[in-house]
Amino acid sequence: MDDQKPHAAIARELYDAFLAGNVDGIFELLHADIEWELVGSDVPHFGCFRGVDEVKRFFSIIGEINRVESFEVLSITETEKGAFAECRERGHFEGHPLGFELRSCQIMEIEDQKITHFRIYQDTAKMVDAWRS
Amino acid sequence: MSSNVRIEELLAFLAEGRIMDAMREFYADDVVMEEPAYGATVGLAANLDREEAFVASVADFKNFEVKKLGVGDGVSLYENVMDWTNTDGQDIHVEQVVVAQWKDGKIIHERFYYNAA
Repeated sequence: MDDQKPHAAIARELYDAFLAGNVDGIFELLHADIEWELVGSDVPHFGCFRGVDEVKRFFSIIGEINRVESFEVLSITETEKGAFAECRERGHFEGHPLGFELRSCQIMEIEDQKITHFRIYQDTAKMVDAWRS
Repeated sequence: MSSNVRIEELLAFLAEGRIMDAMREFYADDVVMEEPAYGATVGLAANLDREEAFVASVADFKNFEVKKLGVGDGVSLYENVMDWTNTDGQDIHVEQVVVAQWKDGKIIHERFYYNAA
């Protein structure tokens, strides 16, 4: 682990696990009382998911509806209590004709090498439009 | 390249409601500002026009709170909450992340992330 940027290193582990399809690797990085939020509403995986079991449900929903065609981590920035990550993704929802291509900024709070809060800001309108198509 | 990230100075301006002063002090002439609702606005002059329209739509600016702040190599990122009442009497609440690229003490690119649905 990067001693100078320990939070960024954990964030990198998270995205490496995600990109490898290793969801168990993601769950291992989460605090038991994790608050995981995708800011917005109107799409099934938007909203706040509390606790690891709820985050598992978040990924279950994604697995059912979200077809990710590409996902790229653009930058990770260390902060005093966590990290910011900027990402870009392209995809579509299963059975919905309109795709989406958007950027997001994902914010982590980390304590004792576990992620306690994970909040995703993105252009929700593009995803809502794709979901409603 | 010197980036000279002056984000804490900028946030002090914004907390005092000095939005237009901040635009003139911290934004480069060729700045590009991008946000979900409006897309990209290119150049300081066009962004001053856009911000002036925003300021004119605010009747009572109630709250500007920075919840998280990060600074990287030539980049600043912050999560903030804002509340205001507009001139139509509507109460507006926004939670967003703002990511800025800096060069020579000025912002050359700024991107806003918020729920625009």
